[in-house]
Amino acid sequence: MQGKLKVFRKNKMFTILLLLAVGIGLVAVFAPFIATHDPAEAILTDALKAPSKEHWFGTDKLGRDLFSRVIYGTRVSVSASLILVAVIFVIGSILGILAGYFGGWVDTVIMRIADMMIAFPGMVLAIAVAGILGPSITNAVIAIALVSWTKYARLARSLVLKMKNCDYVAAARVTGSTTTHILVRYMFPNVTPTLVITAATDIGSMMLELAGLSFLGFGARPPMAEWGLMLSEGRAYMQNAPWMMIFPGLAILIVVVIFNLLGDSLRDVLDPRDEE
Amino acid sequence: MDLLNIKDITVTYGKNPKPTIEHFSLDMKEGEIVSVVGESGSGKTTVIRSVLGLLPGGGKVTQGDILFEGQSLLKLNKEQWRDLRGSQMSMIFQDSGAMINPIRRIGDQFVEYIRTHQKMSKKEAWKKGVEMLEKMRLPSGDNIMKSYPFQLSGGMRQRVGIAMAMTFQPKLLLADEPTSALDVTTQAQIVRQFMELRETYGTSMIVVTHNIGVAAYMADKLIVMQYGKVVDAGTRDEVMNNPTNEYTKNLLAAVPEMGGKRYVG
Amino acid sequence: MSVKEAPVIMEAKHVTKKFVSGSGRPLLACNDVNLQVRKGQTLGIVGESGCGKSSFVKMIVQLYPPTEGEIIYGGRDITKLKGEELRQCRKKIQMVFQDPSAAFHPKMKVMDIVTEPLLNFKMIKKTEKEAKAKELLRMVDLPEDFVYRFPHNMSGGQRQRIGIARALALEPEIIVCDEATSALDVSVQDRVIELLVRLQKEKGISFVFICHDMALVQSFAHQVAVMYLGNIVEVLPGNEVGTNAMHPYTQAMLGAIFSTRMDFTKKIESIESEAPSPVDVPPGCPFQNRCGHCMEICRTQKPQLVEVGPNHQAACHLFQGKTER
Repeated sequence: MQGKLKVFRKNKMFTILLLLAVGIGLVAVFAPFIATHDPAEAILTDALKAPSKEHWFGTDKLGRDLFSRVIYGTRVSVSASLILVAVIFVIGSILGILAGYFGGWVDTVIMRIADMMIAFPGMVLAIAVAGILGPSITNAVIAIALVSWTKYARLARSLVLKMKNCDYVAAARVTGSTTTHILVRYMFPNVTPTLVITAATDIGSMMLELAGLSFLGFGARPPMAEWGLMLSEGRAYMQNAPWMMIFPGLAILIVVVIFNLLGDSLRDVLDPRDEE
Repeated sequence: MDLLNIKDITVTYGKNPKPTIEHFSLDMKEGEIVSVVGESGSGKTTVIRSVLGLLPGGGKVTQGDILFEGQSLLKLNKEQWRDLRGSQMSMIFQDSGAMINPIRRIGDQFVEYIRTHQKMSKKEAWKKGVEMLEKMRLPSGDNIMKSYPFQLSGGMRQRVGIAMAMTFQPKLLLADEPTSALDVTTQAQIVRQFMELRETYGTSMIVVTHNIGVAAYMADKLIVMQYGKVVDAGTRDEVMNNPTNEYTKNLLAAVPEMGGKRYVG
Repeated sequence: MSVKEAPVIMEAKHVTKKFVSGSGRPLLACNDVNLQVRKGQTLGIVGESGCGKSSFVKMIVQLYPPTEGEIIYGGRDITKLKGEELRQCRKKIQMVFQDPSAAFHPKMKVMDIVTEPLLNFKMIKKTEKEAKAKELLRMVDLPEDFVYRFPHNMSGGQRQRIGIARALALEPEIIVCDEATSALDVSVQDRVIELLVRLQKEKGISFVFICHDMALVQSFAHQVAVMYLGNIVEVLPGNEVGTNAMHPYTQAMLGAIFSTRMDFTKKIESIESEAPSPVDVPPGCPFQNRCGHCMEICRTQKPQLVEVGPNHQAACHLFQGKTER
């Protein structure tokens, strides 16, 4: 236990960022207590009001309170991107480990599919998938997951290839470890640190992609409070009511920056390999 | 005058209170070969690193002095070290391949090395390099110069290392496990090469190795180290035939020998 | 027990392994290797780097199959085994690796390392782990409380003992040692060899011991096989290596040994030149380019292993005529 605490004391930057990330999570969970208004309550007479004491971030074209919508937006954006990253992390690393460990046709099939996914520009393919499946936040997650797992698969595969010929993996085989045992006890724990770092850095960019899809109309549908969608709604009023874009944009910026820095500092924490 | 006097030196690394070597002394005449043997952690490599002023980060000679032709090495500045290293004394590592850049041709590095120590044209330097390689029994030096390190075998790379180290006919050659990475037949060839260097150039050498057979074969004087201290020192015959120290006796007994101790019936 | 009396428990027949080298050319790591492992005895395999000795033992422990040939153990060809049958067969053939710092999962404690083989075969319960680990450490003369340590906090010799303890766990019949003492200091090496020999006597284990140090191998091997460029060139009893070696390559290796008892004033012998790359093995005798006795026939015809004495075979045209005794 003391050893765990030492990690936090030694890596101040990481601790601060982790607290900020937890803070974002708390905002999402306790959104109803933080928000000053009902995010869906439209009062047309209050439409396009500038920030004031009553509406801290102003109101949108339907007179909904922007502050409350940004707060509630945390729920959608953060949970969607976390789910997205978790999905691609699991799918990508499992496929990558299998491809690397078994080689042969397993490798060929998995990696050729991955190549196909990479051959298209990611966003375009995601738009195409989202277009076919129909616009919704779930479909946006599926679309982005389909094009993003390849990075994890490649990374896991190359790590496994490097490790596969190590003496201690040979030793595990000679001592009669089953293939499942080797994959679970040897391969998986050895690829996770690197992949977790990648995943943490990816949370930010995945959030951006989700917001991008929503902005283009392929993700969240109105009246959902989602940052990308809010940006899109605010675009038409950029000159009259710039706050409609400024505050959701700032929210995206802050969250993305926090998660990116968290990923970077996680690398420093996890990289020194020996624990003694 | 002696070529090298190491006077009672103690070397410490960083804040570690326990010195890596303690009270090490050695007097060497020109043309002499001294072998330092010991197991891992005995501090034998630290000895030659301190002579060459190449103690890695935090290492310091805290006591004693090292004199090269009567001049203290501990007081040299960077400029003086550069003049000395390569031309007066040079070093050979366990795997010379590791000290040459793997992605550059041997020739480019050899020429660069020669030109940092002596003013000459690239053409002359190339010629000198080829000449040195051939002196080290590497056939077709020109081809070797055009090769990349990975294209050469371990034995050939070691010869390249020796050729580079011998370019300016240094008076003192420091060798750190020079044959340990080689196969037995290649090891014998390289050892013979070292012995020829002394015959031809009168080079003095300090050879650090854990292979006691090689150490004894090459040496005029033998030094046995354990935990940073000299436990036995003397001429080869004194140490090999009449070891005074218990550790030396055990060490000699542990070396597997043809027709020696058999563990099974 | 003399060499002949002990029963053969494993036999490699015509084992050949081809790899495709980086340049796409075939590399013959093992060429028609025939060797026998006898009960409770040690087979030493000597040769220089790249001679194929490591590839050969990796086939014995079935890390990969041979391209051709078979390895007979327990009455069947174990190179054809698959899946669960292969796994069950591994129980009897264990291995100790060369580099004791690379042979263990870096995040596993000694206790988990040495008992993993037993848990793999469900031969002990998780609750018995600690006691069993301590018992195994006692066998290799290590203090019991080492079970709580990580191997990277131990010395090279101690780690190699952990490797031996792991290999002993399943009570195998054969233990393959791949340069198991090469990374160790001589005095540590001496004690590890003593341990191996003691275990052999107590448990009747057979060892296949790969090594580049001829003097070491002959000191405890019952039979020594000399390999050169994928070929076995000589097989002879360990106690005859110093006196009776016949193949020019074996003699060249013997001549190149630096010994503490040698005559230091005599020039060290050594054949000139180095072994050709294994992708460039010439037709005929593999040793022809470096051999002082090379004849016309050596350039065209590959010599076969023939009996040249009791338990002694050599593959050299110098002795081909003396087949019948």
